[in-house]
Amino acid sequence: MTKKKLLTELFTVLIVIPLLVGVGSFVFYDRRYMLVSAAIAVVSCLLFFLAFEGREGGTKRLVILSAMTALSVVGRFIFAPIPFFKPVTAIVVICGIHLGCEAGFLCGSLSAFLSNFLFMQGPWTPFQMFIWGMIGFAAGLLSKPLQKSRAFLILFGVLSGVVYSAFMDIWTTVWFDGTFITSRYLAALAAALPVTAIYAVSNVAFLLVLSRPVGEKLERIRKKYGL
Amino acid sequence: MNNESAFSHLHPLTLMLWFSFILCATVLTTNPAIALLSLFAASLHRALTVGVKPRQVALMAVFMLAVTLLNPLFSHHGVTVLFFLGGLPITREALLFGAFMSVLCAAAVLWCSSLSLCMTSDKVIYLFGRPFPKLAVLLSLTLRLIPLFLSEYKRMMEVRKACGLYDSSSLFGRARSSLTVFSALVTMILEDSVDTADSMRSRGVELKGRTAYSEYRFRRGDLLTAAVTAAALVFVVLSGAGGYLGFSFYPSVTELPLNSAAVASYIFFGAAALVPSITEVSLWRRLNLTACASDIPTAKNTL
Repeated sequence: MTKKKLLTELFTVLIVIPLLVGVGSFVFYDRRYMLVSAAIAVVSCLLFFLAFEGREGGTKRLVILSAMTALSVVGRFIFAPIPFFKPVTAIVVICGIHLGCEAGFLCGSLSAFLSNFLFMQGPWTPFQMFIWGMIGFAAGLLSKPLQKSRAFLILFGVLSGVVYSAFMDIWTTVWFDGTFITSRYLAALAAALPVTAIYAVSNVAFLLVLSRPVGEKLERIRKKYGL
Repeated sequence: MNNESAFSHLHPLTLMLWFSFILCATVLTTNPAIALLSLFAASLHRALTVGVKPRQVALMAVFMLAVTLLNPLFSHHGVTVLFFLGGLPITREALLFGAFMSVLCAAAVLWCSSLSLCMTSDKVIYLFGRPFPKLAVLLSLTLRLIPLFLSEYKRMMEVRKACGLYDSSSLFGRARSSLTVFSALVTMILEDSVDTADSMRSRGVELKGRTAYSEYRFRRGDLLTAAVTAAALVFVVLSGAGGYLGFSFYPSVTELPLNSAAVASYIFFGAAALVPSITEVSLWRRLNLTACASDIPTAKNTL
């Protein structure tokens, strides 16, 4: 049943997003990139939230998910003095691996949303919510190989850092004046290289340190209370 | 975080309506008059609530200048070529468009800072509560857990330090000591969350028809703000759709539309954009007046 639900979710995303792109580029001709990308980010988050509302989930799962989310927000807060070196992605990935795709997405997107109350909300919030959510979702999809192979976990950490940075640079490029210019995107990517490197390194470091102990604890809770 | 805005005392629905209108209008407009009005109102509100901080003003000015100057480097549309830079034409239109964009970006950033000042997390939960009841529970639980975790983390750390179990000799040692505490924190959190879930269940969190606690009321100020916003929305959208607000930078800069529909739109947009600042000022005046009014009888009594 969860497989079926997952498929319907993916299907909706695949139908709704192209529709948004089509309508958006037709109606808002000169500002289409900014608007359409913002609309996609918001709508995909809303779709996941709606799916979560419709789910018959126990309160225990809900509270554990909220604990994991709080943990990643606290992590972002504790490491605030070291720029860009944050355990958020690692905790989101662990959450996705052990609690499933949907929990991974929610943990990621809500961490972005809530921690921005401490940092700052801005036009980038929906994009951060989307990309962190998607990283959690992907971790949930790849849960088996990520648990089995350490090398794959490291690769996933590096990739999620690179993808996060590249995606946020799309936002930077488009936000600049509402249009997407490839040369400007490449310039933004190049300028963000050191930050991307820190993201990748911090993801791998936190994943290596946290994934086993936190994963064991989550599995233990699952066994002990029969979730 | 201590900065308070009188505007934030309005109903969350009014705030959402107002902010979505202003932000969308600011980001979507191609009209420089609306962009400038928006920037002016945004800076005024920021100055009234947070105050003018020279460093932030300087940062904003540098940012705006950078946006203005960078646009002609990337965009070569426009008919008036000013000069050639490395074989690429730098046009007056691209420069002006950059300036326009810098105004829009600055206004949007300032409005977003007002948004995070006014739309506090409790208001967001109130708004989300009806369409997304489960999400609202998740959000409010998480918001409660964040300070709890921070204080628990500090407490555990202090105990470890007092026991002499904190290795501060090296960076590695410090990291390992913090990790031990973090690990204990995770165990505690997960065990506790199951207890929390059980007690929530026993209090009927899974039943239907749960209500939410909220102390928001739709007052006269909300009605006024909503009316002004709605009027501005109608004028701006209709004039925009009818092409009365049209303005373009490429291929050459057109004249600012000053027909009656456009002027009405500017006035209504300006009025709507100034609502937070007016609320701010009128609140202080009202407080001041009541303070004076209460002074007068006491003065009479003493006479």
